[in-house]
Amino acid sequence: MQVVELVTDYLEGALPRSQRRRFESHLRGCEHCTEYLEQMRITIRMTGRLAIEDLTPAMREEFGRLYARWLAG
Amino acid sequence: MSPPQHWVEDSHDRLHAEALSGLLHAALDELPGRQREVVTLRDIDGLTSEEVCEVLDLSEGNQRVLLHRGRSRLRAVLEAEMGGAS
Repeated sequence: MQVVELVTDYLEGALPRSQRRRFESHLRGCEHCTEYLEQMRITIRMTGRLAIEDLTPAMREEFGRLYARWLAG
Repeated sequence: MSPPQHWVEDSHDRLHAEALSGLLHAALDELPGRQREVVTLRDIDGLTSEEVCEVLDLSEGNQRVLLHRGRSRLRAVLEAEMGGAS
């Protein structure tokens, strides 16, 4: 299903305008895909509520290293 | 095909909300490394796509593919728990 493949591009604003219009037009007629998009939005919101403290020590270390390298320039 | 079910995002049942959070955390932990990094930096830390590309040394396209795969996996995990459109 195309909506499944394109959903991230759509949310990122990365679809060319004509494709975005086709995507939105499809959603207007398809409850299933509309629900899928909403589920994706909910997934992103729920992920956002995971706090850094919730990450495992290994993950926190991984990100600490990434950030340290990034800040070192 | 069964009709899509609407997910309940904010459960009034605190135990259920915490269980969902734990499920998501476990699923995040199980993602392939690069997918986990992109999803975490974008959706938890709130970095922009440009910043993530810089931190992880990725092209915009690659970053988006990783983001897509990671998020899709997390959605599927929540769907297995809550039901609904697939």
